[in-house]
Order: sequence, then C-alpha cells, then structure tokens
Amino acid sequence: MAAVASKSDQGPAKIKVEANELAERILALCAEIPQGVNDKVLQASMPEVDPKSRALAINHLLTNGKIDLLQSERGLLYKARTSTSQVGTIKGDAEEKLVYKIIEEAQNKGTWIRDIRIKSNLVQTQLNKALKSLKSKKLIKDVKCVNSTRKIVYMLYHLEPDSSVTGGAWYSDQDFESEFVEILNQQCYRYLYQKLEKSRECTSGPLMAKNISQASSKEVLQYISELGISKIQLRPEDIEAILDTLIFDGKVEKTLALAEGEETRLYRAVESLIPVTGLMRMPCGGCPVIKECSDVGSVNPIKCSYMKEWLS
Amino acid sequence: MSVAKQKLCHLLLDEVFGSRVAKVGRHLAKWEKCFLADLYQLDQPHECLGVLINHGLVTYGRDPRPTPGVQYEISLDQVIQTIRYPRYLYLIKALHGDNAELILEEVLRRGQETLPKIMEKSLNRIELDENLAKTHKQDLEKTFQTLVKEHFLQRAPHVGTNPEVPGSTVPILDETTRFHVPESIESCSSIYWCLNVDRFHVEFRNKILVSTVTRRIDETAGKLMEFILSLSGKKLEASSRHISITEIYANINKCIDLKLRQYKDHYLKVLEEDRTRFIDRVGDEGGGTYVVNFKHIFTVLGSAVVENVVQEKFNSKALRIFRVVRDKLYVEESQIQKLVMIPARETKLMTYQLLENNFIQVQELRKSLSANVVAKSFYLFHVDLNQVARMVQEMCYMSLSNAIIRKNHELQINARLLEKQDRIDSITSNINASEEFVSEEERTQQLEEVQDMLSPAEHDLVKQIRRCGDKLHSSLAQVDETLLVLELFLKL
Amino acid sequence: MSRGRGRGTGLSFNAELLGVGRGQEAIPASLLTPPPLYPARLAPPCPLVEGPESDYLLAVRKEFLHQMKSSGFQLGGHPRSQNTQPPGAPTSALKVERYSDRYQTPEDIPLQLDWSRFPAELRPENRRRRIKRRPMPTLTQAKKPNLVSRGDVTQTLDELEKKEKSGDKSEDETDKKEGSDGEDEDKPKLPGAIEDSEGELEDEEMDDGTDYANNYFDNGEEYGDEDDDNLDEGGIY
Repeated sequence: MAAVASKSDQGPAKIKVEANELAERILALCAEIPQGVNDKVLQASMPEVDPKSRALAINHLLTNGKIDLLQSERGLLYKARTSTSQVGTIKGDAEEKLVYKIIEEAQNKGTWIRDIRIKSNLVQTQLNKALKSLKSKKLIKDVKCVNSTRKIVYMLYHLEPDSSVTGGAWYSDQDFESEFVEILNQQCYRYLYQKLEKSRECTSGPLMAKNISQASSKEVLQYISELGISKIQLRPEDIEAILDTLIFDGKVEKTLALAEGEETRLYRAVESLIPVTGLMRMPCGGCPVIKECSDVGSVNPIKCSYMKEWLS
Repeated sequence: MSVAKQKLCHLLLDEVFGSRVAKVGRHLAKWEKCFLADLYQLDQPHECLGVLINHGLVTYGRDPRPTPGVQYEISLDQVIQTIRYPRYLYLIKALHGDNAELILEEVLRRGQETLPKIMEKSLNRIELDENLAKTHKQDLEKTFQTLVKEHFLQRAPHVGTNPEVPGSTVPILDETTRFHVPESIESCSSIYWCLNVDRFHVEFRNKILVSTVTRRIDETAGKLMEFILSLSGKKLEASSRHISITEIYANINKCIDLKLRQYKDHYLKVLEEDRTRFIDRVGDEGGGTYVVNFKHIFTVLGSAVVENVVQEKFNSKALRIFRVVRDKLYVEESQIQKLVMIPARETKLMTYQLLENNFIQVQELRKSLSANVVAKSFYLFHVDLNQVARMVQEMCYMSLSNAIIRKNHELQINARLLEKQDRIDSITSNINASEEFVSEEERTQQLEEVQDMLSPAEHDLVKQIRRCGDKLHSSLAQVDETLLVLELFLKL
Repeated sequence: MSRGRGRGTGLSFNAELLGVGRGQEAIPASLLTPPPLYPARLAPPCPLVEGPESDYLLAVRKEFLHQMKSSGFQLGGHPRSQNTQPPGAPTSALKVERYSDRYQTPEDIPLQLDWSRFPAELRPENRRRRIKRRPMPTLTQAKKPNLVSRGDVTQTLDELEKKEKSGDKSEDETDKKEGSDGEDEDKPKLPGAIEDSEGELEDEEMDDGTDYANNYFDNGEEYGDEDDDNLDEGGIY
C-alpha cells in the first residue's frame, strides 16, 4: 500500500510523527465509542494502516495510559480511559502499578489486602514491598476499618474514606461516640415530645392535633443543626438512624406520608401503651436470683434481703 | 401444671379455705385427675371436694368407659382467680351500685346460692351495718335480675347424667335457661346462682383497652372506644363482630360529651390509623364497618408487658435490643449493633444477658451440612413471644407465692404482739361504746390505761408490721393485673 | 478457667483475641470470696399503685378472708382447731401451746351444703359405708373363732404361766407368740400368721433357722424349778 511505503521511506522520526497521528486518530475513535472499539472495527475504519503501525500506535497509547485493552467475546476491545489516572506517570515497576490500579478501582471504599493479593496474583512479600513503596511515595494510604479492629483497607492518598469504613458521623478515630449519640437521642426526643405537648393543647380536633405532633426527618435535622451540638454536618440519614433508635426505645412512632410529591417519614412522640406493670412493682419482678428462690435453701422469701429493704 | 402454680394454689386455698381443703387441692393439682378413693388418706375428703366444687374450683366427670368412680379435676386458673374477687366487687359497684355489690359478695362467699337466701342474707347485712344505705327487697331483686340479664351471674351447674352417655356423671348446665330468672320467686328456691367469670373478664378486657386508648390518644378517644366496645358483645372472642358506623354514631349522639360529638369522625379516623390498630376498618357498607381485633391488640399489650419487664429488670438499653430483635424477627449480632447505636461491648453484654434469662433465643443456621467442617454458622436471634409470656407468668406465680409466704411469716412471728394490739383495740371500742362512765375524763383515763398495755415502741412496731402486711397483701392485686393481661394474651 | 493440667493461672483462651487485654475490667482480679447471695440491685422497684381503688381492694380482701374463716367452709372451722401453721413457713420455735387448747373443745361451725347438687359418692349418707375401707379395720370375731381375743390374752397368759411351771419349752414360745398375737389382731390379716398352730410352726421354723434366740434367752429351766419365778423377768440386770 502506498501510505505504508511512504512511511517506511521517511525514516524513524517521520514514523514517530505518523504514529502519533495514528494514535490520536485511534484515540478519537475510542472517544467516540465509549463502550470500546473492537479491533476489527478499528481495522475497518483505517484500512490504509498496516497492522504493525496500528499495533505500535496502540502500544503507545497503552503505555501512556490513554486507552485500556480489554478482552471481550468478540475479540480485543480498546477503550478510552476517562479517569484521570496516573498509572502511566508512576515511576515504578509493573507490580506497583498493578497494585495501584487495583486500589484505585476500589475508590473510597478501599480494598482489603487479601483482595489485592487475589486480584494481582502476587506473592505476599512482593505485595508488601509494593505497598510499602507506594506508601512512601504517598500515593496510597491505609485506613483502619471500624467494623473489625484488625482489618486494614488501602485507598488512594487523596481520597476521603467512605462512611462504611470509618463509621461515618458516629466514629471519630475509631471510637464510637456513644455520648454524642446519646445526646442526639435525647434532643430529638425532647423536640418531638415538645411537639406532642403542644398538640395536646390544640382544640380543633384530634386529626389536627396528630398533624401538629408529627415532624419529618428534615425538620428534626434542622432543629438539631440549629442547636449546634454537632461539630460536623449531619445528614438526613444520620438523623433517621437516631430516630430509628428512638422507635426501638418505644418512645417514637413512624408513619410514611406523601408530602410534596415525595415520600417522607413522619415521626411523632408517643406515650407508652401501659404504665409500669404490677409485677415489676414488687422486688420479685426484677430479682436477679429468682431462679434460685424456693422454700429450701438460702434464697427464700423469708430471708430475702430485697424484701426486707422493700418492706422497711 | 408447673410447680410454682401448684404451690401458689396451695397457698391460696389455705388462705381462703383452710389447711384441710388446701391439702386436698394440692393432691388434685399434683395428680391432675383423681378418684375419691385416691384421697382417702387425707382428712375429710368428701367435704373438701364438696367445698371446692361448690365454689367452682373443681369439676367432675365420669368417663364413658366403666371406671370405678367419678374423676375430679381442679382448675388451677380458677383458684388463682380468687385473688380477683375484690376486683369483681369494685367493678360491679361502679357499674350497678351498692346493691349489686352486696348481692355479688354473698354469691362469692357462698360459692353458689339460691335467690331467696341471697336476698335474706343481704337484707340482714343491711340491717346490721349502719353504714349501708337502706334498701327495699324489690330493689334488691331488680338489681339481681339486672345482674343476671347482663350475664354477670348465671345458674350453677348441678350433677346429672349426660343423655348421650348413659351412666355418666357430669355437671349439667342448660344453655337455654342459664341466664334466665323464672317469673315466680317461689320456684327460685331450687335454683342456685353463681358467678360467670368470663363476663367479668370481658369487662376487665374492655377497661384495659379503654385505658390504653386514653393513654395513647386522649380521654375522648377513650370514651369512643368504650362505646364501640359496648357494642361488641359479652363474650371473650378473638375478634368482635362487624360494627357499623351508624350504630356507633347512634350511641355517640346520646352522650353529652360535646367534643366527641363534634369530632366523632376524626376520632374514628385517629383510632383507625393508630399503629396499634385499635379498630380495623373492614368495609364500607353502611357508611363504614369496623371490627375490633382483640387478638392483635392483646398481642401488642402482651409484648408491652414483657418489654416493661425487660426494662425494669435490666435497663433501657436492653429494652432497645429486645425490641430490635422482636421487630426484625431474625437478626444477627452485627446487625443488632448497627441498629441499636450502643457501644459494641455493651451491646454484646446485654444481648447475652437477655439470652441467658431466656428473653431471646438463638437459632443456628449452618452454612454447610458437613459436620466436620468448622464452617461458621449464622447465629440468628429471635423472640418467641408465647414462651416469654409464659415465663413472665411463672414469675408472677412465684412473686405471688413469695408475697403470701412472707406476709404469713411476718404476721406469725409477731402474732402475740398483734393479738395484744387486737385486744387493746376491742377494749378501746368497748369503752367508747359503753355508757358506764360518768365523765369524759374517766373515759379518757381508762383509754390511756388500755393504751399503756403496750409501750410506744411496741405500738410503732405493730404499726410497721401491719403496714408490711398490707403492702404485701396489696401487691397481690397488682401482680394479678399483670397476670390478667398475660392470660388474655395467651387465651385469645 | 484453666482445665486439665491444673497448673497456674493461665487462661485457656487467648485474651488478646477477644479484645480483652490486661488492665481492663473484663478480667477482674481473682475473687477469693463466693459471690454475694443477693447481689446489689441497680434500682429499687417502682412503688405500688396507691389510691382509693387499691385501698378498697385490700380492705375487701381482708374482710373476705376474715368472713371465710367463720363460714363453715374451712372444715373444723374454729381457727384453733386447725393447724394454724401456714404452708411454706418454717416451724417456729415461738409456737406456744396454750393451756386452754387442751381443755376447750373448739366449736366447729357446721358445713352447710346442698349435697344433692354434687356426685352421689360425696354425700354424707354414703360416708358411713366408706369406713369399711379404712386402712385399719377392726377385728371381726366371726371369721376366725380360734383366735384369742384381746380380753382373753391376759387370761391365756395366766394359764400359760401355770403350764410353764411344768417346764415346757415350746409353751414359752407360745407365750411369746401370743404376746405378739394380741398386737397382730389389730393389723390386717396376713395369711397363715394368726392361727396358733400355724404360728407355732412358723415360730419353730424361725427358731430352727437362728440359734441366736435359743441361746440368748435362757429361761432358766435347766436350773430347775426354783427359778421359775424369774421366768418373766428375763435376765437380772
């Protein structure tokens, strides 16, 4: 073919330039078809290019990290890489690049060391070396997982760990902030209870009263934010988690309603169904040794010290 | 029949009927069904059995197969319900007045009684006791008829033979005449009347529901609930009949509560929409048809009682965990921790404490069937409400027994002191009533002398002992309330 | 808890693994005393419900129990005629028997029930026939005319004493036998144990089996008649 002959006549520099052009053409084609360009399609679109030049161009693009080489049922696929990946710029050996690539994929959830090992098929020692060097280059970092104390996940240096790893708003440095949760719990309940009390003064019927006593999670969030007890910004999901614990306490109930075209959760404080039940007004109700209580033995109703305290 | 229940029955029978009847009762409780011959070692078994049958605590029957005699069976539930007698009286007094209270008291004491005798004894009591209001015999009879009409009293069964099974001996109760008072009073002398316990339980059930609604919503809603329940019948059923809105409105329009009349449909709606499902709307015919699902409501109430127990016995964190497990049916430990938002260590501690005390159970699901593989299984926590309710019932029985034992003990070790005080009291009242004394000073002097029979410290001690005895005694009624809710839950 | 080797204080589980390190409260210092019988409770129970209703309930119940005591349903109804020790209570050393208890017959309040309403076997008129089935039947003389009745025992004993003075060994055994016969008469009849002749046979068999009785009881007959007076006294202590 004429084009190819001309290329080979002009010398290496010209080949390089033309290779660059070719690469750009290929890249443009890949960009047009983001799902990936089949090799055959590529061939068909530039019939004048010989396979060797094409291969060179593709290799060039690959090393620069501009496209990805993927395998599909129909053959090889070339995909334009859209992420601002820096694999190409890493000065490291192939193993490190591979490890980096795997970690990058996991984004802000991070990958467990075992997963990296499986995906990369590297030996543990090699893997450790790679990780160490990447860490020293400040490209990745390790984050301790909040769910299990020994689990460590790796992610890119600049990324913020996801809430599932750090526990989100409730954890600060791996410590569960139980006091914070408690305070939020109490404040939310107070807000809802105040609403309930206000609704009791309402004179326009029970339905009106019920509506007054209800609050959506957004309203509660607003109230809490205004109170300023939280250093970080809480999201609706966080408040809903707190409100759910109140539901589990039996102090609050939830209804779903359709408001402004979208489903919202409405919460209202409720009184408990029954007052303290009769059994628990006697010491025997809450007795820790009731299983041992009988007529014989040291634990019996006549010598019971709880009874004695209760009766005096 | 659990041991705790049997022990409680023995104690109650001893309190009410004395030790001989109590022994017979205990024997019956232990062996479930007995022949008279089995009881020969005990003292006066015939009379004891007679007393127990008379008060409706023992039933009898003879199997179709030829057996050497009649079999007797004690109903432990009925024995424990003797604690409730004062509550029946309180209810009847509130509903139908003092006359009804008198009549019911006579019936309770005698077990079964004929109408003429009841009238006679009640009139006697009214005459002797100056605090009771005077009333005529006709008023009493009218009240009696009301009580029978409302099914609070019924005809007592008597011995007879089952027509289908010749040669049998069973208690006969004719359903058609059960609540029927004959016109002529004379023919009444052979008919015995006794308590219809189920009817009282229906009233208690309604009362509990009304108070729950009042707590949850407000008083007016409680009144509405009362109206609805009055339409729902006199039997203990899992769910009431269909009640149409017109009936409810008809009742409301008669009542004086303005707020209810104004907002009746609002209240109905609020009751319907409440998460506890006090009433269910089942259809639109007649403007709207409603049904009260007692079974569901009492499941909710039963679990409320259990949750109360958990909260008071452990703490509110344990309550949260318990409710999470109940809500999510089957849940893993890690999930509990996420939902409950309590530090992991505390969650684990409370979860296992609940498990140890049998409030929650564990279900293991193996990941693989091979036994040798140390494969991890799923351990799922769940709550079996029936079992927990029965466990709480047992706790109630134990508490009741303990209260009775302790009370008897306290009164017994100080018996001499208390007797002395009783004598002082009777002498004091005699002095106050008598007119022998010339002047007030003499009277007061005598009174002081009598009081000096016991030193001030002893007086205080007596007061304290009496206070303890009363406290233990009234705790019986309170624990019985818990027992009632659990019984209704398990029965419906 | 270490098992098996019984050495030292090592724990059988790996403490670090469970997140329980040193210095934390999870492993308290080893306790040297048993745990308290009634561990301290976090909070006392809620107070009882007070109010007119509970006062009423209490008063009514107390009165009800008081009335039941004199109702006749308590069978042997006078409070003192019953065993007033309530069940479940320890036997109190303070129980004082009154002098008057021995000499006053408490008035029993009669039980008034309409017995026609209960199964026939419970009725009082049927009760008398029950007595026959009591475990301790009285002796019916007609059956075994050979038996010596109680009143005659002393008479028989006297007769036998005279017989013994003639020095019959077997009669001694009859003596013993008849002494025990008097008691046997009140017990249920065992076959073959009562009749004299059979009893003797039995006794002899017994004696044949054990020489002990023979050797032990030396009735002094070998010593001659002058010791006959000491027969009944047995040995001289």
